[in-house]
Amino acid sequence: MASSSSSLPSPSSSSSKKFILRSSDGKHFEVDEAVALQSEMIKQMVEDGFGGDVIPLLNVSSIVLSKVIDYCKKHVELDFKKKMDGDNEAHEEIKNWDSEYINVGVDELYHLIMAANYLHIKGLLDLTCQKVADIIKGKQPEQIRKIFNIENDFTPEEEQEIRKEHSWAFE
Amino acid sequence: MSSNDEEKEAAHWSELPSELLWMFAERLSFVENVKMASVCNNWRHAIQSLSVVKPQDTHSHCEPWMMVIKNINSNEREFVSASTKEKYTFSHGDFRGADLLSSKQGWLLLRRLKSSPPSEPECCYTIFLVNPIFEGKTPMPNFNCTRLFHGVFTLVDGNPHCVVLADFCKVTEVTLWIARPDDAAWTKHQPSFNKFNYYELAIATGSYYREVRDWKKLCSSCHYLIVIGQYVYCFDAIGRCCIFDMVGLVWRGIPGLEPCTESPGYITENKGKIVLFKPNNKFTELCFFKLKHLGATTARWLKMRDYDMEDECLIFSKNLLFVNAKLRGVKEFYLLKHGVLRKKSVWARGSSIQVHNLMDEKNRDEDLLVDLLSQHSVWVDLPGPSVN
Repeated sequence: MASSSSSLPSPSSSSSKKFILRSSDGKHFEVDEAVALQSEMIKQMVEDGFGGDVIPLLNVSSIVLSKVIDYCKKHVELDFKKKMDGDNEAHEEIKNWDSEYINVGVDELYHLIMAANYLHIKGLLDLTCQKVADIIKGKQPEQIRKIFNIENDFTPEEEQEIRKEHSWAFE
Repeated sequence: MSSNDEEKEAAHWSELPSELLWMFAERLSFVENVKMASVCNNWRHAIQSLSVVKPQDTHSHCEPWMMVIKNINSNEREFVSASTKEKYTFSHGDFRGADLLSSKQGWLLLRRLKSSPPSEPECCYTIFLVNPIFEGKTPMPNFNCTRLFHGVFTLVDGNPHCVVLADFCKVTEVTLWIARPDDAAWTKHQPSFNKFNYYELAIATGSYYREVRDWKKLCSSCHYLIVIGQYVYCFDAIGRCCIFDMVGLVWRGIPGLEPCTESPGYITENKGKIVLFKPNNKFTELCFFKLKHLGATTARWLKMRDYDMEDECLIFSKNLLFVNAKLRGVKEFYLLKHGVLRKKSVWARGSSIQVHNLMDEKNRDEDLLVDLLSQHSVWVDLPGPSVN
């Protein structure tokens, strides 16, 4: 199961402030303030005074949310390390961790992109979009459709027209 | 139970919102963008609106693309990437007989000499812009000129907005002709002051004159014309500058800008800034400067830090030099040998491209490129990823 927690946090149990995020399927995730604030959307909610108790995330399922929290936790940790140990080492570690993290199937990738976009987590959005770009690179339209399970909704005439217009690209 | 449902929740790649599709497209070259536009209707609409939504008027060459002109009278032009070796053949009726003045974001500013009776002293050129990638064409007024001229243009919302032609052959003065796509004729603009007087300079600087004269012999027409927004920058052979404001119709000299005292360097535009590139003779040491305005008539070249240029690609001249520092860790320089470099550097061996790797200080000849250069070829700016 995801690293969910249904118990409310006791403010005295930790020095850092905690937030509770509620996924679309009703699971609760307790996270540190710094982790939650990786999301610009949550940050905005908190600034607007909605950060009191539980933050509902209507568009993110528990499975995706736990994966997103993994990302945010690691990046908070690595950002801290970067400040302590200097840029180079941490930079390398972030790169390696990210490339391992994003090694997922296209369905999971899709949900991560949607979540990163909804939650406004720039780093995760960059990472996921770059992954999609890397998949598309060097592929023909038919291969792209197959990978992402996209139906070809052009009429045969439209398709012929498109190919004619950009014949240089399809040779 | 709910978690099982979630796991099976489908991904709807075909229904992605445009802003996400743009984020993929920004990371890919024009070739992949064209292919993305052929996947499904939703993707097609997103990609087609990209150039309008994300207008770019600045150069963005990420790949050193060359346009190869095998036969100037044919409809075909080959576009070859010097680094990835990708090659595409574009067929366009307007290519026939046309040569390139400049390029930006996939738009090519071309001119074609119209046949005229031998009695006519002036040559008449057809001037036009084409975008072979997205099938665009913008005609411009005809242009009469007996001498060589430069041509540059601006883009607004991804479409040509304004074209500037300049005659730099008279060494002591500059003349601009400016037109918008719908104009019936070119409008002539000349400064009232005499900007580029070599003789004054010779008197002022003594021995330095000889340098300038020698250098001019090597490269008689290597002056730079750059347009950024409403401003046209004209650089003379030793890097002195005057600026024409196309909105206010005002000329402005920058007398405070120090001329280059040794090698003249190469001047171009990068992300809306004027950049000067000064390599030493062997190209082993490279200096980049950017033009910093200090007031209305003063400016100076500020040396840039190495890492400022780490990810940059610059076309300094369409048929002279391309600097590509894009590939992380490996800085490579693609040089097309021509006039000015022949005498001064160790690079010249006829017409060839060499790739110079700054990390291991080794030169290598590129077979493909040497082959290309037996034909007429020029660097072009095709849209590449706008995000690193």
